Amino acid sequence: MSPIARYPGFLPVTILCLVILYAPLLVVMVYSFNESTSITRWGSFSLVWYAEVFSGPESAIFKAAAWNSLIIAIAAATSATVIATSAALAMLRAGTFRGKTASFALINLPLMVPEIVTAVATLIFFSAIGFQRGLLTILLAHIVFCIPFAYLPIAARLQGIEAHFEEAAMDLYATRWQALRLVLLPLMLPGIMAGFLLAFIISLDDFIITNFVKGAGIETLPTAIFGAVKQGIKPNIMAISTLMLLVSVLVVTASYFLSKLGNHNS
Amino acid sequence: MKRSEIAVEIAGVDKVFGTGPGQSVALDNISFTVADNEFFTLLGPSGCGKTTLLRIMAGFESLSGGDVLLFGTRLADLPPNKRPINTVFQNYALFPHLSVAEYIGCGRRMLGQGRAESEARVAEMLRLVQLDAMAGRKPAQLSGGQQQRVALARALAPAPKVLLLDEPLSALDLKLRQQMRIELQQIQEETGITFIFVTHDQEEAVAMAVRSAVMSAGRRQQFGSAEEIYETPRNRFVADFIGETNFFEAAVVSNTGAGTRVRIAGGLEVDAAGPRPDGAKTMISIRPERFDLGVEGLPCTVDKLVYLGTDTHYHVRLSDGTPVMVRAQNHLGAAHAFAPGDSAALSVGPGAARVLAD
Repeated sequence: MSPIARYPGFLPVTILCLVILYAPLLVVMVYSFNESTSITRWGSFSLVWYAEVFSGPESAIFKAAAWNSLIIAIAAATSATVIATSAALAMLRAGTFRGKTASFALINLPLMVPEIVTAVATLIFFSAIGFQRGLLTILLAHIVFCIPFAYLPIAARLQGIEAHFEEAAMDLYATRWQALRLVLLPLMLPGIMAGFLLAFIISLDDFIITNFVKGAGIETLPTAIFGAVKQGIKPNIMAISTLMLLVSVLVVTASYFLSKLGNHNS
Repeated sequence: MKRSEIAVEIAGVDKVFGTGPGQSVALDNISFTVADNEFFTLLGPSGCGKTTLLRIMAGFESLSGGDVLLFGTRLADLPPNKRPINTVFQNYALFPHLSVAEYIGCGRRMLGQGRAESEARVAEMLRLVQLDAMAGRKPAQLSGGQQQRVALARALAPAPKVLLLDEPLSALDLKLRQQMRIELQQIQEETGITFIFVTHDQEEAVAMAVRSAVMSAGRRQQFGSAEEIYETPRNRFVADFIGETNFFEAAVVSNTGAGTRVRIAGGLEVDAAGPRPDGAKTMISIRPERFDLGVEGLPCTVDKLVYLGTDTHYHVRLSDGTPVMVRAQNHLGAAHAFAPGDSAALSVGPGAARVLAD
């Protein structure tokens, strides 16, 4: 028995937390396979709501929203990863420069600012400069709040790579660029992949900021689900939610194992 | 030495880290020359600036003053990748994602050599460091000694004019270290590349080098052959750092003719070689093995002895309480001539005492 398990009340508290966290998820997952239209009474096992998601009357809206979500998540995660990688290289490899501490704070600030504040501020900003709201505004907003999430695993990885590797590369007649491309980036790759996947998942399930900055008629999966729920909760929502949960779990698991893999190598 | 024989010339090199009140002087007017095809060591305690000097030669640190010349060419303006110098890093710096053969071939390929030519060179290097069977392995699959050999092979493969070695043996155990010392010397002779070997281990430096520069606190303390440095240390730091020695405050008895005659603790008068002392007092050094412990001479008491196989260390005390360390070879049948508490007598042969400049 581990030392922490010896504290009185450890087991009940743990179970309580787990129940509060996961029971709703479990209910959604189980009821997505419910044949009945009721969301509270169990009929029998069925995949009818999954079929409804893909071919029902609302399927067109959900498909379009899913495509938007996917495109935005890939584009935002890619851009955020490129920016975060450059930022990590500057913060950890460029020595000291003026404004370094301020840069570090600015990179990580979106993690601290309440999301609703960012959402309102971004909306006001786009309105003020007369930027037409649409897919592009969603994308820009997502890139910004994805940067710190991509930055953290990339910087953590880079911190574990000794400066000797770049010196050894230059000692072997590599230029700075070759040292980066042939030595540093391959070594950073697990961190970069983990950062990309984390940013991807953060973008995929963002609701608040997206809801503020999206244009009329443009939906992402979370806003489409929210829109559908406003009409009343149907079991097809549970099916979509279960599918999204599956994607999230897969991506986060991949991200976790990629960062593990990297640490093992060095 | 003719100018053409000088591989590296360190000319008045200064290095200052930081600016303003927080600045620290890492190197202070260091000068020496390394001959072509020489095995040279840079010796000093940790923090003395020897690694900084090595990094300046490699191009990873800039100069604050002075010059570094490679066969007469100024190096200061060349980036590390343009210098025909390779480094064996202290922690080897093997790339975890490259195999042994890929890593060794790295330098050649960066220099734009063809695949076939580079592969032939890799095979040659693998033979040189006896790692033929390990070509496909990744660094994580190699022992410490094997990693060390890979680091050496990858630095030698581009055939640099000078090879810098930054305490390359410090992570190995004693047996392996001794074996690698011999191998390094053989490889140096075989390749004809100038080796500059940085170490804090005085025994290692003395065992390997033709010539050494001894450094301390960012300054060059002495420069010369291992024998010169051991036998004629210029100052107290060198005498203390290279081997063991006894220091004595000595009164100058006479300072004319052939040498200086001094009187040390207990009234022992000896002739001391080295620089002429200015005043009436000076500091001298006498190595433990230069004393003879017998029955004639300066009376002393044996405090303690340490048996070390080839020789025995005696800690003795003169009549006025001055402690002296004496080392006697263990000839057959002569061991333990004295026991702790015994009375004995010290004598010193000619040329044993050395006057220290500072």
